[in-house]
Amino acid sequence: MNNDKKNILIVEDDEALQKLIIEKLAGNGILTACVRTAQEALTKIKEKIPDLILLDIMLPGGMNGFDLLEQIRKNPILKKIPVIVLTNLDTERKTAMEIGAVDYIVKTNISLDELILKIKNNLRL
Amino acid sequence: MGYIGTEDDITQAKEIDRMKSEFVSLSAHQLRSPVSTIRWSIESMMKNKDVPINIAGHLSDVYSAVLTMNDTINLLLNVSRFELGTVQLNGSPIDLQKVVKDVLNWRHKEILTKGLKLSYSTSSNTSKIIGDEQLIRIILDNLISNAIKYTPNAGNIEISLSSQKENILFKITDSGIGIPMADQSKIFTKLFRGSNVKKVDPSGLGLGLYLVKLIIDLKGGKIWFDSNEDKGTTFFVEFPKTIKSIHK
Repeated sequence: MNNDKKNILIVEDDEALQKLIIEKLAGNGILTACVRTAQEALTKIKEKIPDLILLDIMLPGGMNGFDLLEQIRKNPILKKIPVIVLTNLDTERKTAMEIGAVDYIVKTNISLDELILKIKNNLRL
Repeated sequence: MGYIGTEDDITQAKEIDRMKSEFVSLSAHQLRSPVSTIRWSIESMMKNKDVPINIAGHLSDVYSAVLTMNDTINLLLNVSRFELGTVQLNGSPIDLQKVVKDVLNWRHKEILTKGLKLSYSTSSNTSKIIGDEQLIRIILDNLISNAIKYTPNAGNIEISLSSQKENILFKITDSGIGIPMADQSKIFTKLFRGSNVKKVDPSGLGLGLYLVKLIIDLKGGKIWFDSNEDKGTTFFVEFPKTIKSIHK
């Protein structure tokens, strides 16, 4: 039934933000999976390749968002997954885009509607 | 002995200043997550049609307050970065016209709320430049938000971008409260606030134009203005079409 629905993996350690994004995406008919660390994200991606990844940079555990993004871009099967970086850091845009993010969003500087619109644009919805 | 004592005092004062800037930077950064949560939660609640009208009014006030808090956090972070010497100048190809439109979109609601008449014109050769997008956004956003803040309801704001050989000229004219003659020499000074702006915005910090000037000096540009109290102000910003990256 949900075969034609898009899947997004949210890599975000702030549970309140996770909840808000999931709720809003669900309202737009988009399925989500959430993890708190880059390691968990790798496991999840191997289980099911998402249509898009929403990725925070500062994450608990040994790997940060950039480490994960680099691994995704080096992997021939995963390298085409669009990754939007969603972060509180506003100084890392250049690095993120060089590593291969399709967009770089500073959380506080965007409304939830604008975020959903950017996600939908990247999913070509 | 006197000389050694003075040098120690200066070193200690500089170290205290650096620690203060670090503290401000860290605190401001830590505030970003909760501010995002509050902002997005209120947005979700405001979309709920079952919210009673009196509560909707309060939500709208809290939302405005959160956006102001966000602006303040951004300002404190950016100023502390300059004071800690951690600002980098990253020159890369950017679409300047798009950056201006983005900033105007970001401020769209405030422009609508005040019923301001906005005009924006561009000349050719102002689109593709080699610049630092993040720093250009800070300059434009500060000048545009000041024009919005200090122009009375139903006033006018005119923005133009033009090309001048090696430079870009950004010009913003408002029909706002203007800068009193006695304050004009001090408006780029840290923490200075004009005598008339305190009435319009008592909570301002006096850091916005200080930050704009720091950025423009770093970029090798110029900023100047022409203002008449109670009639309005025009700010002019000139900066090179191509900048070289500076990594400290």
